Amino acid sequence: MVPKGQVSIEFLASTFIFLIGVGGALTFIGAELPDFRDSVRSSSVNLDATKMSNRLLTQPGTHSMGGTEWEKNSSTRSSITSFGFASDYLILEEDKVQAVSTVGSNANYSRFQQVESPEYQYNLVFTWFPLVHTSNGFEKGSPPSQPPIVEPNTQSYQDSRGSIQYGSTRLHGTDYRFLTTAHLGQYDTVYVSTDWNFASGVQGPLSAGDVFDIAGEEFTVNSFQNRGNDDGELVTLSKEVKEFGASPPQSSESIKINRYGVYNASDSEDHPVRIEVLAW
Amino acid sequence: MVSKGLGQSLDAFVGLLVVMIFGIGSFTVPAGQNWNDYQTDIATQDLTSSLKQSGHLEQFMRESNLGSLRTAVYEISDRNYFMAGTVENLPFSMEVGFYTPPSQRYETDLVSVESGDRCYDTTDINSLDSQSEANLVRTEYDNFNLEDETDSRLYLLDTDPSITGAYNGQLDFDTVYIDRNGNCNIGQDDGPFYIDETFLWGNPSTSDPEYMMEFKSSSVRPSDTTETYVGNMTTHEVPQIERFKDSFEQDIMGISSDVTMDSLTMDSDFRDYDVIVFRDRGNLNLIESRKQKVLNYAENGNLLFLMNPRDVDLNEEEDILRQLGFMEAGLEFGSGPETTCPTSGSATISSDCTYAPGTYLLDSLTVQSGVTVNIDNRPDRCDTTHQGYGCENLSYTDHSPRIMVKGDVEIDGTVNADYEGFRNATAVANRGGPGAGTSREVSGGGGYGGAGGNSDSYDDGGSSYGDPEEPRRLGSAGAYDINGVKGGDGGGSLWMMAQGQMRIDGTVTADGENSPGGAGGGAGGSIQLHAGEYAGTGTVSAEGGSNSNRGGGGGGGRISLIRESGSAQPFFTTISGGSSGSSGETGDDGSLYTDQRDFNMSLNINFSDTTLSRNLESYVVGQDVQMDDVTLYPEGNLISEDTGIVSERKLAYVEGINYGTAALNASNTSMRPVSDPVGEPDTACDSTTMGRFDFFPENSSIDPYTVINVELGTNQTYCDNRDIRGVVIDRNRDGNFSGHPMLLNTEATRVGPKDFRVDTLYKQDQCNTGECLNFVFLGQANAELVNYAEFNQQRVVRAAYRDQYTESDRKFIIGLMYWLRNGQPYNFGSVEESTLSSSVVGGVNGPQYIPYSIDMRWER
Repeated sequence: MVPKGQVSIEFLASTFIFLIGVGGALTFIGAELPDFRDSVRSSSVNLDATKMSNRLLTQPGTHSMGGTEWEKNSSTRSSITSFGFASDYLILEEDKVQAVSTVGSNANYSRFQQVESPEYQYNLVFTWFPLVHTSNGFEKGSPPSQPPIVEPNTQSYQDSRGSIQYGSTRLHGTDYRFLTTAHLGQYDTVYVSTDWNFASGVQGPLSAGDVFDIAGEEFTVNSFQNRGNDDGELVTLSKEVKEFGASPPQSSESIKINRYGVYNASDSEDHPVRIEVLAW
Repeated sequence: MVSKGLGQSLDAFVGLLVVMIFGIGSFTVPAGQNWNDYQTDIATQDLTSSLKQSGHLEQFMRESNLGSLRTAVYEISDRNYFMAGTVENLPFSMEVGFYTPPSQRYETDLVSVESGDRCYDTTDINSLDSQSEANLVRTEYDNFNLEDETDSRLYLLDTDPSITGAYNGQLDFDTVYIDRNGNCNIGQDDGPFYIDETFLWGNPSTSDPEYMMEFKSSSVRPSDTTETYVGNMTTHEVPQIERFKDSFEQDIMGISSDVTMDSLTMDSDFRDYDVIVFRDRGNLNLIESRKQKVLNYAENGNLLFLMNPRDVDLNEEEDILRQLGFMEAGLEFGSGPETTCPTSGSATISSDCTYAPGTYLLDSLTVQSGVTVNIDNRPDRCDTTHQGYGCENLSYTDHSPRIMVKGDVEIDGTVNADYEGFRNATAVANRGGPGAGTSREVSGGGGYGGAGGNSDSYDDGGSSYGDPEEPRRLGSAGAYDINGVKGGDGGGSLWMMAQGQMRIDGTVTADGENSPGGAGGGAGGSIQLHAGEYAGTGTVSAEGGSNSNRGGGGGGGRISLIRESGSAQPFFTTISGGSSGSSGETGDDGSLYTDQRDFNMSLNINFSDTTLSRNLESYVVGQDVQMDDVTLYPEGNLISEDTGIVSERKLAYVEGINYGTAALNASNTSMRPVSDPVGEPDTACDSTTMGRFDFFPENSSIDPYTVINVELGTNQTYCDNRDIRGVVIDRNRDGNFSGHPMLLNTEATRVGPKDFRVDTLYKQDQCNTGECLNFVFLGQANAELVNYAEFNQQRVVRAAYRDQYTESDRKFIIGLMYWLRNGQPYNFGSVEESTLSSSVVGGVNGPQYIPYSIDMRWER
């Protein structure tokens, strides 16, 4: 026979050990739970942002009167049933992008929330990147006759070294001509004109970060190509064409996915567009 | 139990542990997801797609501008991503080495410029001297190996161009200036020229690449006696390289590429080059002793042979071609040693010469008065080898020269294909061709365009055959007479085309031979002419041969005159049958066909449907090559591989110019009777024969197959009255013929990659029953324009050699070089160790579509 006292001691000891174990488990779970919750939320936001951006950037959207041209007029915009900016996979239509606004118009963020019922808040920034191929070149002082380039008469141009590179691109119905020059071994300046005469009516010399006007819109000279053996053969421009959505939070709780597509602007050559998708 | 309480504790603890494991497991699952990589993956895929869909990617490819591609990616991605990658299919850069034989290399003495030199202390020479680290040296005129018609002189400087504003302190003369015409003036175009650069030698008023030299090296040391230098310099004559350089400036469908071309020797470091070119068959003996070096290079590099191999077996020097993977077809095609007449360019023939079977493309052709151009139809094949009938199995190009002339043809002398047709080698009747005369006593004449005349002893003349519009056959021979006197040989065959005017004031003949005794005369042969227009008052003749005794005259031959305009036949034509001397009959007249129509004498180059061939086509067509001007017509005896005639590797071929394929037939004329071979098809007949057939005569490593030739019948009567035969090939070589398909006469079958047609009637009149059997090769016979082989997965190509190529030829060859280079991917940019990658396939559009792929590696 086991004495009763001994049973009680064993019971108490086992209960004590059990409580220690339970306490340890709860402590562990309590410590891990926030990370777990953050991780789950991060997964959820990332997946939702991907899903939402996929829908917006690969589909044209619809309106209740039938059709996909919801951006056409105020009636279609007010009867929008799903948002979408694309005419094809990642081909974004300028008209659709310009038709939305955070506040004001019918196709605003409130409407977006109402129609799409997003689980999270969103902010989308569209930046257009016209790429100007300046792969043709000539020696300073010996411009080609075709195209009939007239060289700039600035001191900066006179001070440039290396071959002069030139090219053009069509933006909003106008052909813009670009001429890039190098100083200190780096291509760093560009002249912009609507014809090949860079001696008059020209914008420049412009450096990276400078803002210039194209058809009444401000574009920024983003960068010059100085990699490999193809120096001076590309000038990248940029212009933020739209911001749409809620104001981003100050905290770092938001996630950002950068998406890229082609911006189909009116009477313009096709150029890439970056869409920064913020979700929180 | 003593342990009861402890057991409860343990139970509880284990239970708790299980709960914790589940809890920990569920908490840590999401932590395994790297959302940065996830976002990068999406972004890079989008970036690639947007650059491709916007057309910029193609433009970067066209411009070979991958630095800009990387810049665009970096900038658009908000400077988040670096990208590097590998491009396949587009030849962005290429280093080509041209082997230069010793005869085109020059070693020239150098001496210091000293007082007394003709240009000593002149302004320009002093200026050069001031630029040089060491005192100026010049070529020593008295011992100058370069042809110096203009008294020019080279000056060498030590400028160390790789160092800016300084010298390296070594005596290395690395810079050349040229004083043209010895006037001591150094002009703007007269230098500097550095190592491996080319300069125009001689008169600056000409830009003829014939005078282009490449500065290869110099070796200078102080002289023993004074403070001067002595040494030598090496230059290579590089006219052909220079011409290719000019042609390389043409983009391919807008794709610009960076190509360097160097002259090299067998001592050069081959590893520097993507493609090495060996030119002219005659140079093969120069590389023979260093052959292993070429083979070693071929394991990692690409070789282009511009040379015309022989049309007979490759000789010892050419064996390297065999080692690199080319095969000999065992075919007979193209110009060979028998051809002594000009085979290309503008030819004026001033002494007797011979055209053997093959195709010749000339710019113009003149046969001067008093000169005879002999047409060699190789009639010997038709008797000693084939007993007369063999020629029927040969294709037209096996026995007839085809002379294609881009411009005018002027014939003031003689073009002679007389007696080049069928011969009677023995006194056996009917062996002198399909229209051979017959013989019992005195003999009939041979027939072709017209029937041969009968003899007065009623021995028949041969019948007519062939096509009047496109006469390609040889005339048949007259028969032997009873006294063993040989009948006349038939006339030969000639095919000539002139894009311009063909003026014949001399004679063009393919007459049959007269016969002595009572033998029959030979039939006239074939003359097929095409011309823009005809002129002249000469004679075109395909007459039958006569007999002055009792034999029959040969039938007339066939003449076909096609023109684009003008008179049908301003000159005299005759296709008369040959006469008989007494009571024999005159041969019938042959045929004269005339027509006015357009014709095309271009090579009609085609590319096969394989990816490799399409790639080559894109590189060729992408340069706007005028195919009509490509003169790289097939030559020699080389095919791309052992099955070259039907090869999928046939990169480019020429329609209308065929290999002879008779040599690829598999025949046996001595099949032996065999009783009940294992697996023999059921038959009541007992006339089965067995023999060995070599279906791959061009490949000695493949053994012949055993074939049975079975007479078929359900009873002996059937067997006696008919001769229906079936053929079975022991395809798995196990000695058992069951399970293999039985083939009847004319049925087609495939052996390996080759198609054959069964001919059980082969030489029926010469063979005993079942003794002879032929498998007639049915493969594609269009001749290869270029030959292609693989060596250790690297590409080797052969194309025709010319002293001077046409511009289209050069572009075609450049296309071949790009195609050779294409096998190697082009790497651009670099990133740190990358875990993310993406790939994109695209294409450059133009006259053709060049597909490319880019594998990208990303770094955030």
